[in-house]
Amino acid sequence: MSHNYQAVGWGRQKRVYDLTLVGGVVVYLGLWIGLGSALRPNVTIETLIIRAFGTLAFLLLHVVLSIGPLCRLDPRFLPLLYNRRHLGVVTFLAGATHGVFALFQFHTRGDVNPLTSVLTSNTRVDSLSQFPFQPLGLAALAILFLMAATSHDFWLSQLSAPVWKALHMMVYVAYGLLVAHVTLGVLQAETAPPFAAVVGIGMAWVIGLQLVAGFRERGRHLPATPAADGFVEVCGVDDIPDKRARIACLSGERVAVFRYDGKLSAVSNVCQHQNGPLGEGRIINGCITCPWHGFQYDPETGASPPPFTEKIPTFRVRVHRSRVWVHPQPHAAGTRLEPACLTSRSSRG
Amino acid sequence: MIRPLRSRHRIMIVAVGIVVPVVFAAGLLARKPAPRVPGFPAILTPPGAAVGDSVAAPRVTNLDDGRLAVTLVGSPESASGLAVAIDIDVHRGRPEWLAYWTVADTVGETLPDDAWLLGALSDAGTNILGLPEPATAGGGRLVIYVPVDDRVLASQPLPDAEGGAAGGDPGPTP
Repeated sequence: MSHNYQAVGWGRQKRVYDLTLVGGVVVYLGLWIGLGSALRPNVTIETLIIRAFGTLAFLLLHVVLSIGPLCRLDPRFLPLLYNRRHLGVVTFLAGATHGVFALFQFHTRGDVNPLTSVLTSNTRVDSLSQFPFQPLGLAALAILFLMAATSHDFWLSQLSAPVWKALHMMVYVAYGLLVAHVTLGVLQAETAPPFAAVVGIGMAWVIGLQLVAGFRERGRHLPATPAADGFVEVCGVDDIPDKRARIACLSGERVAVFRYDGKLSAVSNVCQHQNGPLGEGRIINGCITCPWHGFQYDPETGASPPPFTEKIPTFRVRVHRSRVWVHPQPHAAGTRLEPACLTSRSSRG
Repeated sequence: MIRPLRSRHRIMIVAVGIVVPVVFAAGLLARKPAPRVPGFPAILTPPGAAVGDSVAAPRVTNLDDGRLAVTLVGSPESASGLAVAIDIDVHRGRPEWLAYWTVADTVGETLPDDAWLLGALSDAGTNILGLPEPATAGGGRLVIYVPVDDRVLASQPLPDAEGGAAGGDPGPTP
């Protein structure tokens, strides 16, 4: 959290995650280069390396883009989310290796600066089949670099979560550029149907998953109508499991109402760290715990326990006839509000 | 606080969901079949394919990872009446090699200005390349040049038409 920064705060879970990732990468590259040199002996090792790292980066980007919606659809995928940034950095490194080898292979034999050559050697923008696809890959790589370079919590803190999130949303632009890079590049020469089919299935998977998760999300947390005193009925008391929350959409923002120790408190649903959905987390050691990265907040104040300094807005809650009512006016982040106490009477109604 | 982000995310996904499949489909539809050339272009295969008897015994040049065997043969269709039959035994996957003939006695790292292009060397089978008119009496040197590296791979003196030339030698940077 915000107390101090380390390059990487290693834990067992992160080690297992990263070891699995590195192992998978090594196996993939070994298989690709080994099988490639056996099946196509006339292909040079440079070409095999270019293709192995290029396909690896493309595959990893599909995985990165699938994790978010998968977690929205099923919380069992949440462990994949914890170190998604490590996956993103590896994706960039694989893409950069592909780019550097391609640069040496195709652009260092002339008398023009190799990077200038990438951007100027092909100007056939009027032809799809001969389109200058390499600049598309270079642009995608630049975006992946920007994201990898700012992936650490230090930059998240410096830029603020909304700016950081907006910056990292560029991953979709990078994905679009890479599909175009692959389609207008290698798929123009490799015309065997399986190559196009693999790219098409990957694209359908990523886009379909995002659309399904978004569509399902849309149906949840519909905005409620306020009563005369401004309070909005959210749900029944018994609809909230102990040490869990119910999410409601109030004044356009999402509010998480937590039930714990016979009390109810409402806070913003947005974690200060990476805007994770706090309402999908639970109360651990008396604190609301974000399901994404474990950031914690006191449910009554919305403040992280010392020495951490993150704060989130709080909302007034009351219980009437076993129904939970929340006022949509947020209080300043970190403001202590009395929780609504659940007596046996209020719970019964 | 997060509402604008959600809105931007939604717009981004919809845009990606429309634009990316369109680009993918258009790219596939625009594909053209790879051109198939039955042989090298005429400029790289000058007359000389019709082969007569050997004029001299084969000469062999050893390369780092293979060998080059050259035989001077009669060729009624070439300007000189002679051709070279070149057999390459090297690792496949090489960049394109070109064969030249020059009157020079020695060849350095660069291709001589007066070298005559005989043709490109393919990996498959024996390459028969006609010699130019100045080579009527035989002699001169056969030069193997690698355009992508801009270097002479090897050169080999050709025998006289009567059959009296020295052995081959690799180029400066084989």
